Amino acid sequence: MTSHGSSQRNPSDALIEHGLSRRRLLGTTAAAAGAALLTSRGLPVAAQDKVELVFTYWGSPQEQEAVAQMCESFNEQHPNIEVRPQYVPNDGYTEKMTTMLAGGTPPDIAYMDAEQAFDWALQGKTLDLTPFVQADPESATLLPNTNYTYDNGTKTLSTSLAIGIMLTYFNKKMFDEAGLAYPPSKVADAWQWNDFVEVAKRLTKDRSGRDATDPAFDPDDIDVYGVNYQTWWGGYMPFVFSNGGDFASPDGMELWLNKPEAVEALQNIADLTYKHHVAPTPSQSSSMPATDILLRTGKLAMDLNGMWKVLDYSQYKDLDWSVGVLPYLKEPTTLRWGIPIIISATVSDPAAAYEFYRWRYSPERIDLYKRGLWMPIQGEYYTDPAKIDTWINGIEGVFPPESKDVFIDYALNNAKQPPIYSVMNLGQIQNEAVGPALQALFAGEKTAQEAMDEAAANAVMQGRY
Amino acid sequence: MAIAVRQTTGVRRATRWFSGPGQREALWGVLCVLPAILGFVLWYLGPMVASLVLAFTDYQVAGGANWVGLDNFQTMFGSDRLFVKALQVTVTYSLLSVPLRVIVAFLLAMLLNQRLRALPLFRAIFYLPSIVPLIASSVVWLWMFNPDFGLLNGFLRDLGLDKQRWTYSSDTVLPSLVLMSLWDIGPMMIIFLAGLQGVPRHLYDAVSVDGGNAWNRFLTVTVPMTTPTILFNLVLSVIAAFQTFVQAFIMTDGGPNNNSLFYGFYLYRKAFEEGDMGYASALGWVLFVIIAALSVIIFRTSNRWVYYEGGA
Repeated sequence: MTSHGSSQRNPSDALIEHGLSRRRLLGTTAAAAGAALLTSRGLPVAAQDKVELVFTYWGSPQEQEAVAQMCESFNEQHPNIEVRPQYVPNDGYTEKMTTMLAGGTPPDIAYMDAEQAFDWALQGKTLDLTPFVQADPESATLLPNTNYTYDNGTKTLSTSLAIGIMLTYFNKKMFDEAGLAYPPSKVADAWQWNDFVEVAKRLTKDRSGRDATDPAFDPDDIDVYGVNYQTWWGGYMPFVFSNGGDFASPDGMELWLNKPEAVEALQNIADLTYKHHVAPTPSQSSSMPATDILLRTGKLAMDLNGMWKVLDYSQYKDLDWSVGVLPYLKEPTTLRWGIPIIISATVSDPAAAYEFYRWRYSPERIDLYKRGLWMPIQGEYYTDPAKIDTWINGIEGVFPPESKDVFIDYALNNAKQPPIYSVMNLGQIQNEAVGPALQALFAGEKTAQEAMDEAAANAVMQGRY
Repeated sequence: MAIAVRQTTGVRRATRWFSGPGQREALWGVLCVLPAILGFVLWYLGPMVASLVLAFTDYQVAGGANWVGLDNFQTMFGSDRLFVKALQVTVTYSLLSVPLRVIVAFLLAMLLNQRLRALPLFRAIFYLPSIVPLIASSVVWLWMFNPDFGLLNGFLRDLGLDKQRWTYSSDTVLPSLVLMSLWDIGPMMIIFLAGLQGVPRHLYDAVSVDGGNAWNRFLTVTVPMTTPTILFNLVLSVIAAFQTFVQAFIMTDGGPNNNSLFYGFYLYRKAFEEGDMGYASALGWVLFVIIAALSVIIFRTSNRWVYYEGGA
């Protein structure tokens, strides 16, 4: 989300919507390096008529490396196309895109914050991908509700970069020691919210070793936290949906986060910190090591986080971890989405650009899937056992044994589409209404009802795309 | 004939312009400052004029620009809640931080104007924080402000006082940033120090001869003689306070609850996050007018309280 609350977010995950994190640390250094690449664009093409494409993206250092490799292998297999990866750090990415466009040199292909992508599309700055997607057999098998469309669904701005869902990560050893059952991986066994809170209380310990169910437990001196949650929409929307709520009304003209269903869900999340004392405050988590370190060192038992963390958690050989579904309020629900990736309307060779664009679809061409950063967007990779194995069992020891329950069943059957696919003016709504309200909520300064009533009054709602 | 004469005159004029030792020097002078002039015209004047024009358009980075007249300004003063909030935040911050900074820098300069042991060392120590880039010191202060592990709450705990939430609470975020603004008063202190050292000793002697004490010396000599320096520092810090940006950008993201939404940060958000360049340009020009007006007011009133020794 914003400010202090955002610090818990992995600073660099391509799947989550970019640009809401505002804690910037020394963000814009890559701009100068990028400029050097850009100046070579538009010059007369070299002897053998090679198509040059600039591809701009963000991500963690590992992702930066992996995506660069993907470009390299693409280039090797396409002698007539030269894709130049241009990495831009998360913080300042939106601003960098703005200045590139204003300067008349937008990237040919780019990861993009959804709101900005829609802006560009509506102004004709991006290529309408509909004809390409229709002509491409691989695009035909994409999961439903994963395309970004506009003009009443007649035009396609983007297919999702890849898929991500929200889930529960946990430290097995801590559950074993406390004699508690693991967070369930099957939807049918999912924890009801109150059961989840009870488990979290048993796992939270103060420095004297008392857990949060103990009357003498000291909430000002917590050593081990039961759970950590995200304060951006990936953190709260699963529970809002689970409770029958939504971000906005179906026509998008009304913010619905102040409706009873949403308020209850949001209050429940904030209560984890201020009532049950099982989760750190935003200021605490901003100063604590990253959640993976906490989970790894036994200072955190459960991390409600995004699918892409598999990449990180799988690297810690000393950590016995696994995955489960999220707790629920009324219906077990997660989110399923990927950020948009656009092709500029100014691209010199749309066909070549689309060839690169679709290259990422297949886990058999790119290792980011089997390494645990992305989930496929093609449906057959969830239904065909042989294809499932290409990513979930692609590399031994990356995905835990319970993964099929969570990443296949849960993702296919219990996932909703987050607001980034449809709600207009989302950036401003977040910056000016929802963000400040969530800050007040998660700082314990306001109740969910107070905070969200204020947000609803302030939100400039403009409908849905 | 007439033509010939005119031509001759023209030639003579041209020759005169390029000949003569004084003229030639002037030409060289112009050539030498040309880079600066070009730099100013290309990188400052041009963009300023462009932004003035854009302030009257709805220019979106992704779209085109249409002339909308005063619409941007009407939105701003009519319905933009956050514009009002940003102004409030910025004015409050300026009202708190400017006087505090000027007074503390002045007192510090007085201290460092005493005959102390290791004086240069102390001066260096107090100037040192100003060398640290604001971005770096913002990150450091973020840690100092941390409610759970921060240095400041550590002090409070040792004194037996309650924990504060500093930049993490909407009530205390601005006072916290005001406190932090004292961190880089080094340059202001140095200017005061120079001003203090320009105060003629004989005036102090005169007060002493008349039986005046330290307080009299301060009030009747030190303060009046340094008013020009105070004016200078005042104007500069008002301008700087109104342009505050980095703290919001690095530390608070304008929060919590928009209580550190500085004007400059709001402008940046409109321009680069939302791509609303027309509106952002309008915001920029309103800020320009505000700062210019304040500077004029300060200068206009300065003849009532600033004393120039030469008698100006």
